Amino acid sequence: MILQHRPALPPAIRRHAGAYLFIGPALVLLVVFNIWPALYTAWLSLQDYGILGSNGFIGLGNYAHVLRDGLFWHSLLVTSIYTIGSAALGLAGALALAALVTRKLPFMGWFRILYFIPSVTSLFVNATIFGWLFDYNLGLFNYWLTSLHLQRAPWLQDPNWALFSVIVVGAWGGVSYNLPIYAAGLQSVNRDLYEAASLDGANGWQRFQSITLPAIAPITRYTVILAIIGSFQLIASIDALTSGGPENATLVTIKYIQLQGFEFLHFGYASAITLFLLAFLLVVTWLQLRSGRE
Amino acid sequence: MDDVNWSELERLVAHGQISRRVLLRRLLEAGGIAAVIGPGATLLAACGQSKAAGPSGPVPAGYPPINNNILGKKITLTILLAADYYNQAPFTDLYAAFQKAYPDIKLNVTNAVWEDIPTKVKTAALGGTPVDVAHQHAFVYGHIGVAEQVDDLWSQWGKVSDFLPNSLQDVTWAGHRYGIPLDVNCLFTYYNKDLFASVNAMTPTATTSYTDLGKELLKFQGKPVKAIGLSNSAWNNSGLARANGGDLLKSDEKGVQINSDKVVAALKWNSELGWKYNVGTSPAPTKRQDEPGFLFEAKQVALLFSGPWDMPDIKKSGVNFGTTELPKGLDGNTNGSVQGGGSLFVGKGSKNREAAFEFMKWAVAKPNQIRMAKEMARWPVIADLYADPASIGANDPALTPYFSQLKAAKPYKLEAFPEGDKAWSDAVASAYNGKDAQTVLNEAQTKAAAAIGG
Repeated sequence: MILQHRPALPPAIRRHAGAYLFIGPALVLLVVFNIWPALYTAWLSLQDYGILGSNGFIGLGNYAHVLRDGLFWHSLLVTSIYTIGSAALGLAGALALAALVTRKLPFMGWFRILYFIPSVTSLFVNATIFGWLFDYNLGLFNYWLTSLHLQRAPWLQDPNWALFSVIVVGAWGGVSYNLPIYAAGLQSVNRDLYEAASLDGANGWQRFQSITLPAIAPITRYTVILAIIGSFQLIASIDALTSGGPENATLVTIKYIQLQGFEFLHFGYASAITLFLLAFLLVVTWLQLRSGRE
Repeated sequence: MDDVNWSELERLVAHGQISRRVLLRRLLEAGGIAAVIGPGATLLAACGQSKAAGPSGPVPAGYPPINNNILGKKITLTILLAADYYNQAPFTDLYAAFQKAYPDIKLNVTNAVWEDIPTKVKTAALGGTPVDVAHQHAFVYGHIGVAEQVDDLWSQWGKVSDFLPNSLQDVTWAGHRYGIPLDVNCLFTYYNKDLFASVNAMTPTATTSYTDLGKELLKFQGKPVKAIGLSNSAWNNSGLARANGGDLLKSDEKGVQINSDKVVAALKWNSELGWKYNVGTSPAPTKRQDEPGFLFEAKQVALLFSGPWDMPDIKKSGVNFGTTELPKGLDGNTNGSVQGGGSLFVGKGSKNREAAFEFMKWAVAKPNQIRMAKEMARWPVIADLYADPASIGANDPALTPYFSQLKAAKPYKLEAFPEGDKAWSDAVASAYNGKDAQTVLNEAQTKAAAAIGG
């Protein structure tokens, strides 16, 4: 009787079998919840896909429609304005407050606890609270304005105000999230540089401009990228505050995808917009990283 | 071992609602090994055994008789109800009674706020796990293909004539029925008698036109309170358009007429009260459509177009209020309103279609409808319950205009067309923000017609 040898595993696999076993569970989750949905989205984007299934393969038809869709480009513009506004306000606020918390001032221990609360609170809850604060008829902000004999502001009703209000809510969260990052960055800057600059007669602004900003530039790049990606995923606060209105003034791209997918039931088209947005974000991130290298 | 709730465990085992492993763990946690080898042994032996078609339990008076087609079948019904319904006493008692009558049917009840139900229903359908019983407007889901057609089950039941004819519109699309109506309401008028008196304005009556009412409301110009609590809700404004004889859909429901003269005139009248004449409140954003009601209760507005759901809170607020129908159009010759409420329907592809329909029949049984009216202010869809208003707690004279208005109310059917609904909603919001009603409705008509047909 001839004994049959079991086919041996390739040496490379045998050598790394343990490692594969360790990463296996995470890999399975990654494939099931990230890679497979992404591939499925790509497949959907090539179909005329409604609630009852596919009405047929339409190739790049959905992508061609994206290019012609004025509301999509409008949503991208709204998202970009939101991104710039909330990132600028959020990061500037975070940096300013980080400079404050790294000083030895009274009650800083309490402040360090308080400033992170918006970050650990649900975005929807934050936005709902702001929704009441911004309320035209019953809100606290308008109560303060009328107490000062000023006109009430249509924070969420007027298309010209609504995006600004949403930006304020985004910046509020951004300050809280980025503050500890900046605080850590500021504390890592070499104190000797400040001392030397002071000896050379540099004032506070000059020290900030010439030492602090360059020293925390990598952190700023990182926070800006995160802010951009976060902004393009924005939906909770839009849902709570404006639902994309008034007059589409706060219709960010993710909200538009939700509208096309889950309200209009154009799943194929919503998938195409999603992938279009992904490509856009990849380009923006690449440009951002490239500018950092330069 | 005294901590073990034996009757609860027996019930769970009897209904097959607990696995042997979970039972063992609960026995160990509560009574230790003594519980497992003692009285728990009998339960463990019974647990998980497949049972033959079990007998039915008692059916309370007034509920449908046992349906032998579903008796004894092991079924889990997934039920998605609105968040302000699912845990109310009439419903929790209904679940218990139904499960007693059908011991083999398990009810898995979930809930969502009304606005979130559409996404949940659609997502479930798309994912291949349809909800067995869902709560919304069945006609919308019949039109988009997410609800099961149940004409055959209605025929077997034979109770069509028991329902208010208008209520059946909430479950009907293109001549087919997709669910069972659960409750009805409609838009009508509340007014604050004291505030009207304070400006020497005449209170509205059942024959008042928009034009006449407008003259009275303008008497509030420059006053610290507003004449009217405005809403830019698509549903509300469809009712206000209907009061002027306008309809957003063509009579065959296959095309839109959003910019018809009657609709434009109604939207113009209502929206201009705010931005042009400054006697109306600024409409709240979508998520807070109940705000005009709060303002009315706080005596900050003198008039409110709303539904009967606001009445319990208005009464509690102590406002000296009156009610009447919606204005009879701009010229006083039209009568209409929008019908709300909701219905239950079976998700498309449900494997438990008949059991789901049976549960829905129980939900609209007279005893439950009476409790919904008395305890939840949700008004019945069964016609003969209105013959004796006292039986449903409707003998309050303040409700008389509501019941009268209900006869002329029709559902907001544009909701079945998402693009049309969005176009109308956006146009209404723009008009309340100060845009010309004719212009924004022309734009809405173009957008909606491109998607639906004009």
